[in-house]
Amino acid sequence: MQILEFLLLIFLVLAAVMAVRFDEELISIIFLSIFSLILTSLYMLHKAADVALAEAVIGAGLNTAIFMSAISQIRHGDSD
Amino acid sequence: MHKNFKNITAVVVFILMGIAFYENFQLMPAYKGLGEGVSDYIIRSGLSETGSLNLITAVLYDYRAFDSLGESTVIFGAVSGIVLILSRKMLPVSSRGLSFIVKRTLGIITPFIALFSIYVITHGHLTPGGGFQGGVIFAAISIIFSIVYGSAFDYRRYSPQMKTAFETVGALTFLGLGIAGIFMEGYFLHNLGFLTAETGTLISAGSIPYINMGVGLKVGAGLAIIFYSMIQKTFKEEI
Amino acid sequence: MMSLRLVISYFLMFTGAFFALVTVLGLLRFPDVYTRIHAGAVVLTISGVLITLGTAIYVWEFFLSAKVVLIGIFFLFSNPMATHAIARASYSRHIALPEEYEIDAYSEYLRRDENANT
Repeated sequence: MQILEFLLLIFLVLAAVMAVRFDEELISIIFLSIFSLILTSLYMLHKAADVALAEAVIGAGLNTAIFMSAISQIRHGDSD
Repeated sequence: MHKNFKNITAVVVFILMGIAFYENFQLMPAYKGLGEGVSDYIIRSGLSETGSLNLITAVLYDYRAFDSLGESTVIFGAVSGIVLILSRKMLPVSSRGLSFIVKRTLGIITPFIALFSIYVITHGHLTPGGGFQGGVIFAAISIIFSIVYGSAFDYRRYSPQMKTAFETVGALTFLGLGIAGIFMEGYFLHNLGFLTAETGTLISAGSIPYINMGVGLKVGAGLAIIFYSMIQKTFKEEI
Repeated sequence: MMSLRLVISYFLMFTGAFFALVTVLGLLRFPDVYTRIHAGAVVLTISGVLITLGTAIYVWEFFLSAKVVLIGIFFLFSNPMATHAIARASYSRHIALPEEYEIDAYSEYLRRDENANT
């Protein structure tokens, strides 16, 4: 269990760094979603089920959809 | 005369609010340190006092219900600002949605998502979850309608007026239960004693399930309004 | 002494893990978008379903097993649909150009669709 937590923490940091470093917004959003997913499993590992549910629903679901719609709006403005 | 009257009313309201806040802050307990402070008290006697198996829900909607009221007010402010900037008077320019396969499959799955959100909201005092999480799952249905079936479908099924009505009903449920707490128990948002039942059943834990339903309706409708007003002139005809 | 139930559940779980490995190999080795999507669809449709079935047999209580099997059925519904949507979107956004392929049945289908509309 200790090893699993350590691996998840490493991937969490990697996902956060990737989300910051990429230039394209779409890939950054995908990495933010992955970040939320890893954070959800970490919360679940620490037996905080309420926070895990909130993080999964808001971080991985709703934030991605809202960011995607905002990004597509920006793209339309650029191309037109 | 009219302006003077308004000023005097505002001053009187502020003075009354100040007195009410002062009286309330007088009632707060002194700080005792983390060991024998409030968290230890809640862990020991939270179940017997509120009847809620999920202690987090007991803290959120009973001990700290006033903070939750503030949070839902923050969501109301966010919805108001976004709707004010991205006006929803404009008619939706809708896409045709995704392909037939995706539409049919989500037609099968979407009722189960609605069922799951209702489960999470109504069982907030028994299992992990609660009004906020269930409300966001409820908003996900509106997002699915907007993306998969096109936002005109979402406009037909859940029009913005209907979402506004849902949000208002949720906020009024929360406030009404708070005011009922004043009249029946003596404090704002106090847990209503006559609603308690055997611990562990669905309708127990006083007013917590009803506050959960109010918060769920409010959060779900509010986030759906945010997404709808962001998407409505976004997706155009493609392919 | 291992009972037959545990043997079956371990067999299902190891088969699921093997298919997950196949997915990773495919994502690394395949050349372009559509073949990679084809490889990536395996991980939930086969591997996830097999692992949930193995878990359901491993715990062997009625309500827990039923919940896990329901999660598996949800995977079985949702993942092919998501794969289909991703492939269609990558076709319509010209991420992989259709001229690179010898057989392009979908564009013929779309052209037939346009002819039917106009």
